[in-house]
Amino acid sequence: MSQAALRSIIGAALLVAFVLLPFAGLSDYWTYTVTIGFYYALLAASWSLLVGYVGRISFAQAAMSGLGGYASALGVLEFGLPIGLGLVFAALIAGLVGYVLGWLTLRLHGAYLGLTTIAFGEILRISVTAEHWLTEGSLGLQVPPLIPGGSRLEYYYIFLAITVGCLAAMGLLLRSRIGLFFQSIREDEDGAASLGVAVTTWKCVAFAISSAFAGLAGGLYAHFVQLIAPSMMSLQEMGVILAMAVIGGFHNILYAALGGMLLQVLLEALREVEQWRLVVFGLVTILVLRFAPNGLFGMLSNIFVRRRNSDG
Amino acid sequence: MRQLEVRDLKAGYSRDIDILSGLSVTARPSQLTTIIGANGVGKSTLLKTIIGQLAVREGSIRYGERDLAGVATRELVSIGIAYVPQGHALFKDMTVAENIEIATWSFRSDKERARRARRRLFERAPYLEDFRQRRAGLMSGGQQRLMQLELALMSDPELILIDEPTVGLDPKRAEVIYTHLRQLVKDEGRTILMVDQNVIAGTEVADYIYVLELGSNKLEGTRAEFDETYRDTIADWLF
Repeated sequence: MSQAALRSIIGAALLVAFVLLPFAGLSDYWTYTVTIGFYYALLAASWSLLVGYVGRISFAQAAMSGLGGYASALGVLEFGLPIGLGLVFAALIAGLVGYVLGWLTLRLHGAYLGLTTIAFGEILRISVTAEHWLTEGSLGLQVPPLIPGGSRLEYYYIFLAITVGCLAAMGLLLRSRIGLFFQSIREDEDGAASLGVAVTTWKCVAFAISSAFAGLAGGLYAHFVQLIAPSMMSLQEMGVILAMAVIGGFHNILYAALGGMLLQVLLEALREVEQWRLVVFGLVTILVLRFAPNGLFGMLSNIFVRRRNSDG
Repeated sequence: MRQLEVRDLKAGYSRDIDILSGLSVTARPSQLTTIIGANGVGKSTLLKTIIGQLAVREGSIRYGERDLAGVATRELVSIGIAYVPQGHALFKDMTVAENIEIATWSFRSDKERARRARRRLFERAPYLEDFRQRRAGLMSGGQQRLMQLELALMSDPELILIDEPTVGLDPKRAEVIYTHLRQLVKDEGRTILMVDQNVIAGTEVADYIYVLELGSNKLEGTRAEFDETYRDTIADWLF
């Protein structure tokens, strides 16, 4: 059995499991937790699309998510947009800013690229904090709900549907020629350019697409928790997203998304140990990078395929 | 057939330092021109400037009537120029079929041309059929290098710019690559400008040879001239 076939089976099984999960006696609290898990899954997958497939590192993903959250909230509050359009606005604004970030960092690699994206993310976070008249600064901005009076279960299924839809869209994109361009840029920019690939354009587009998904996730989150603050754009939050994608497996959007869900559930389950859980996740991230660079799910998938092939 | 003319070229990686300081090179039609020189004299810098990755500060680069200064790397394919970078420019984590798809992207709208290019590729390199759905990185080093060259040939270029084609290969596999390059010139009339550190083999296959020293011309001549006059001098000088 190939890795691709295995991934399709895992994807289908997980979809069925998540659809049925609320019927398995999931409490209101855990329904809320898993719904937030969908937000992180989408965010981790959007980061993996950029880092794992295009080879461009960014530490501004949390900032893009926050930007999406504020764009949607302000679009609804200030311009009277319907919430659906507010979410589209969030994705567009984050995508546009992502394109600019991609253009600014075109010739940067490694540490320089990473540091520039950190600075860019911090500029966004501080701007949001400073513009108190518009964003309420650190106090946080009250955001209208996605479904007025909606139950936790309704939110759960909306988040599930959008997460699955976005993952499917990312998957289709990565299987298309655009996905091939992304991978060719990751492997050898000069080689790709010499075969006629518009490396400059596709690097910017990759930043834009990844940021647009992050912005959409941020918009959804804002209308679910109904209060957003600049802290969702912080470097600590970025560290959590990074850990999720790395532990799940950032070379694959599905594994990164599963990492997002897994860590969100564990973060809640281990709430008793307070800040120590972040220390543990930091250590696990280092160990995974050292011993399982494909992430936990990548490693499990490799083991399963190898066993299956040797049995067959 | 057009020829590539590089005249009095000055270029480099930073504004203040010129790696190439007035270099002149000509790649004559249907000939293999080899550029040799010690590490750091600007051989690869020359190719990077020709393909538009570094700016021309002074001098000119012309291909036939066309001025190449300011032309982006990705546009070269449409002008009839292929660039084969140093090392492993093959996309190793992608399948052979995916590599081929990228190589035909620049002329995707001309379906007949793309079909012809694929057919020609598998005629030239039948071993690729077995690897079609497998990762390109699973092939041997020599096969990867040949495939890299074949991918560049899919656009049917007149001029091939090739950077250190045999670096990291054992002598037997290197010979296969050199023989192939020679055939592309002799049998198909293509023009090749090759940068090489392999002085002996690189000059043996060449029609015309340039020796560089610190970004400028040191010696040049036909292979016959080199065989008679310069070879020992160059070998002593380089080693």
